[in-house]
Amino acid sequence: MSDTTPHLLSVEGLTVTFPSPQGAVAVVKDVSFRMSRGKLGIVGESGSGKSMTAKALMGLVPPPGRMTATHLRLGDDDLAGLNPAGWRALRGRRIGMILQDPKYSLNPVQRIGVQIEETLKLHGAYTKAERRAKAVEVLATVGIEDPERMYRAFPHELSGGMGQRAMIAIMLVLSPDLLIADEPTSALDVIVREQVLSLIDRLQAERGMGLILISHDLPMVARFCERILVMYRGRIIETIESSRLSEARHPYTQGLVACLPSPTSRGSDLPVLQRDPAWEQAS
Amino acid sequence: MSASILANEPRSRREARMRQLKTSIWRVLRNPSTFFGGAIILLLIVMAAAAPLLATHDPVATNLSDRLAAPGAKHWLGTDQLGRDIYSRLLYGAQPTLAIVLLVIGISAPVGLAVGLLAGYLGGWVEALLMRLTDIVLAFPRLILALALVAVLKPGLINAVIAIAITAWPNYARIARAEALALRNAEYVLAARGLGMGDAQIMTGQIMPALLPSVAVRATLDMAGIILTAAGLGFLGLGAQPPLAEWGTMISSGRDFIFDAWWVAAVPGIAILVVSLGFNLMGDGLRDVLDPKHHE
Amino acid sequence: MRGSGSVLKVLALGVITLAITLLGLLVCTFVIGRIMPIDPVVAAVGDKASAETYAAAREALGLDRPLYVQFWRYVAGVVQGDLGLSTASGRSVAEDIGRAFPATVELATLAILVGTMLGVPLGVYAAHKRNRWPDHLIRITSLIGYSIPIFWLGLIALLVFYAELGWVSGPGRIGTVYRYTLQEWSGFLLIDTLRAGDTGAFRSAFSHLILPATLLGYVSLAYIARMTRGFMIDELSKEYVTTARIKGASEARVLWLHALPNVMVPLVTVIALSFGHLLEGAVLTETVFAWPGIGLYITSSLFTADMPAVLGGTLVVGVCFVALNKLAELLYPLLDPRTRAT
Repeated sequence: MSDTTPHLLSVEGLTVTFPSPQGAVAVVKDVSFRMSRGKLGIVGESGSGKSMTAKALMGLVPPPGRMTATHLRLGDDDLAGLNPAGWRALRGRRIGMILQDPKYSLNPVQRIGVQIEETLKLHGAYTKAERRAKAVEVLATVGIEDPERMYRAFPHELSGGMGQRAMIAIMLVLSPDLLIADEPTSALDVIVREQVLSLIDRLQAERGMGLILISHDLPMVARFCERILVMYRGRIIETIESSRLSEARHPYTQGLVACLPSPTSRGSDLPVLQRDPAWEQAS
Repeated sequence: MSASILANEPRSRREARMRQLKTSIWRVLRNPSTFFGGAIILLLIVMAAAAPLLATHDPVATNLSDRLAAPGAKHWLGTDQLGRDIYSRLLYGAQPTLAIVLLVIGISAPVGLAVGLLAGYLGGWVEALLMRLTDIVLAFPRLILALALVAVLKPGLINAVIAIAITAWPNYARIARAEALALRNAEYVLAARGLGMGDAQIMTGQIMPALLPSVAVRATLDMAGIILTAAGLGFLGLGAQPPLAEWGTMISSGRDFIFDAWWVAAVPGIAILVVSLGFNLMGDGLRDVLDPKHHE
Repeated sequence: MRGSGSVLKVLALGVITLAITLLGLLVCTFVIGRIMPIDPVVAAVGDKASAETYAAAREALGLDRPLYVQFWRYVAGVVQGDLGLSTASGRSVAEDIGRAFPATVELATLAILVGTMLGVPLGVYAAHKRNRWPDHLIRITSLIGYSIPIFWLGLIALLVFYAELGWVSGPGRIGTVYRYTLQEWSGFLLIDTLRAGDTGAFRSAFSHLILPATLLGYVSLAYIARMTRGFMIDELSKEYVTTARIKGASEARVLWLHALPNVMVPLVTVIALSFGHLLEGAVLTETVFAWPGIGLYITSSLFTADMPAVLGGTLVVGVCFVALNKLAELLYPLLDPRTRAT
């Protein structure tokens, strides 16, 4: 990565702390990375802080949590000093986020069309007809065969795959610069998973968005993204290109890679990850 | 792997239970709702138990020359229209209040729990029948049904208890049934059945203990309502009969003099409010403590 | 959407359960009426009647027939609107209740309006400001509202606002001056006085209504606000709320346009239940305010041992309660699309 090309997103010293009886607990510790309009993966186990990092990038750290960063920029805009109104203007228009399970992440009492149109309503002066047209159009873009029908549908009428497409439509209707996908396929069947992933891939390429894919599924992230950040207990312990995964330097990453079943290890016991408390300290 | 992480584990089942108990008690004390609620309930119990010691006068002794006296040195909270000391009557009034609450809960909670447990676990026509019955009793607003029943049974403390208890059990039945229904197919129940346990054993040994916390919370929350209903009956003259000191009845007798001797009606009402508040606080707090979701 | 056959099935099931519940109500009141210690024949003819008069009266009242026949006649009568004769007034119980009922409805309706229009927003706001001082204030106010004995509150309120401050009128529904010139049409005095163009009477009716309605409104507000707060807190922790925030929605939008519509179903049930509590509260409030509604009717009938009146009143209130809950249930499909399918 050349340092002279302007990055889409640059993060430095991102920290999220929560108060506790024992003092402030850092859930995300000093996270720094940069990305352009490519595909970045963040991998980690439960509790590694990957979801909270995503929330921090959107200014959605839930109270009483606090976020601080030395440096947080999206394109030319400095996000570190944004007030709530500034964040609201940014979210949905320049950054979008897809959540895990459309059964829960879509509003049960609103039709899909209404939910898509809300993104439009919040960020621009579109007429009712314009909104409807755009909503139907984006539904077609995400691969829905009958967009009109989907427009009128309620979330409980949709299958997992369709629901996730609806979610993508909601987030992509204004063509954001950056899309974060937090475990977008974990709640889906294996076959549907592939469909949704290739949809995201296609859309990312077509629109030239930056994409951050967050998951606990290392092989999936490795297949999909060019670069991977490995998180453990709130820190990034390794940044590596997916093609070079076998050359991982940090023992945790090596452990993760070694745990994956493969044809070559067939017949022998799967290795078990041995954790070292030293990994929690800054490298 | 450091051994320090393992040091906190309890060494036996008994120790684990003691720890759990200790944490629960600690949580109950720390929660402001349960703390103040508990304090008020404790006060009520002390009032009822120590009334003979704390009272300054005989609660039923009349003294017409001293009637409707304002609160002062001789009668701390004044006297009513028959010259009876209100402070002492207030203390003694805690007794029927406490008695009604305990008796009503003591009757309605087990009955409701049993009905709900049977309905939820056995299902089929048993459930249909019992739930219809529950719905029918719940179809009447509580006080009105209690009124009708007391009218039939004749006014009095015991009959008031019976009437209120009859209106109270359906709430427990509803809760017990909903939970029993959910637990009927829980894995540990299926396992118990697989071990050859009979229905009765499963119901009493496996499912009932799981129902107890919600029923207990409900009971505590209900106590406030029972106090208000009992006071209402007393106010209408259908509860404890004079000269027994009961707060609702005291308000009723103070009603005619509200404009001149307001303390006769005002004081017992404050007592009812505080006690009812105490039970509601306790119930709220218990629910927060027992339901991890509500933890702040 | 599934076929209409299952809609019919659900409807039929609903009607059947409703019918069984109402039948159950009738059984209850019938049984209570039959185990009363007062002999209705003696109540009708007096205790000095001769044996022949007694026997004739017994036969006329149908009390010599077997129990199930009596029950059948009772049910048939009720369905036709005959609730028996009041032993105190000699008039038809149904007629007396018909006159008393609108008074309670007027009171309860105003109270529930206050309770809902203030209670729901307060609950939403309390959930929004969870654990900060507005929340604590609202919670304490609610707590007092459903811990307070309504009849005592009525007495104190009368003392303060009527006797001491003179801001409102005292017990009764309207000033005695207007009572005889009143042309009753709907039974709701606010409407009737306006219709007759009598502003003096309207002001009098209003100033009599406002205190009991406010007190009952406060009690119902307390319960509604508390329940709303609870529902909203649960709702705000759900994922679709995060989605809305991701889109850039303001907190106000999230609260009112996303979370609140999702709690409408349980909230409507709560409001229906609250109306039922109001009917209860009305009994005691009417006693304190000498409000000639169904509550006062039942309690005064109790004291004259007028069992047909007591039971008639209880039955009417019970039926109302059931009807209200059923009505609330019917609203669910309108409020929550998930309940529309099947």
